[in-house]
Amino acid sequence: MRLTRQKRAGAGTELNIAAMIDVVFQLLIFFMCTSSFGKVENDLAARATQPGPSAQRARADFPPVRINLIAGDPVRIFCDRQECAAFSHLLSELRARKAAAAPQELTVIIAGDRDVPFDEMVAALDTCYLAGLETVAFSTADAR
Amino acid sequence: MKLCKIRRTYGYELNIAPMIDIVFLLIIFFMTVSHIMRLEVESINLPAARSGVDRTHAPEQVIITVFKDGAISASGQTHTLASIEALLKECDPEHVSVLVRCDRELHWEHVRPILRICTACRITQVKVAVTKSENASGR
Repeated sequence: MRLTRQKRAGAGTELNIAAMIDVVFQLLIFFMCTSSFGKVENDLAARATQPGPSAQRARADFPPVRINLIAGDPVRIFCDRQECAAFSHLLSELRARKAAAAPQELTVIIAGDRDVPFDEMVAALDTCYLAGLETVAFSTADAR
Repeated sequence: MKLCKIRRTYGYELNIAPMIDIVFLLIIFFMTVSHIMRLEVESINLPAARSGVDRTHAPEQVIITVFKDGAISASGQTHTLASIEALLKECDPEHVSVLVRCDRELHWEHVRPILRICTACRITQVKVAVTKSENASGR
């Protein structure tokens, strides 16, 4: 007497998902442990002024635009002794000077007080590049 | 006559189908966003800039990191300004490039000597590391 009906074997292969879930969990733990959410870094070219008489002669022939940053809260920005309220103001000033100097290339020298945050110096450099000025250098002398 | 034992199930069964869906989604997310890379630079708070350009691989590059407290590190080792100068003097100024990574709150007096050393060593390819930001310089 046949009491229970047996399932026919070989009617199709069953997918054993237990092993797959194990692997998937391992992968998940690996990625969660190893991944770090860091910001992507970019670069800005940063030249420094060249010392020496030949460089000084060249600067005398073609006087550069001098941006001075004076430490304070907020940092004071000067463009050829003219104070700018913000970097947006400096940007429009530099754009106007570039347009006036065209086709001659304008050179910019950025100087800063010793206590000026590096962030502000980079902001000044960034503003020059945004204004389309490519010949920009940091002065290694004090701003004052 | 009892022919077969009927197994009764009590309580709730765990339905793992949605869990697997979520786990797969998480895996795809992590695989997509993670960059597998060698961490050769220390994590610091970099300044933001809008005009930053994507980093290109330089064959001979010296990465100098200056931390918030003014400590200097290059190639995973702590340095002083004198040892940085000695390190850069050994390099060929025509081919070497210097990447300066400084904390955004660091004072200019800590960064300036490094640029001065680069100039003294006649290294012209000097770059500063920044993070890309659309709102930077609009202060």
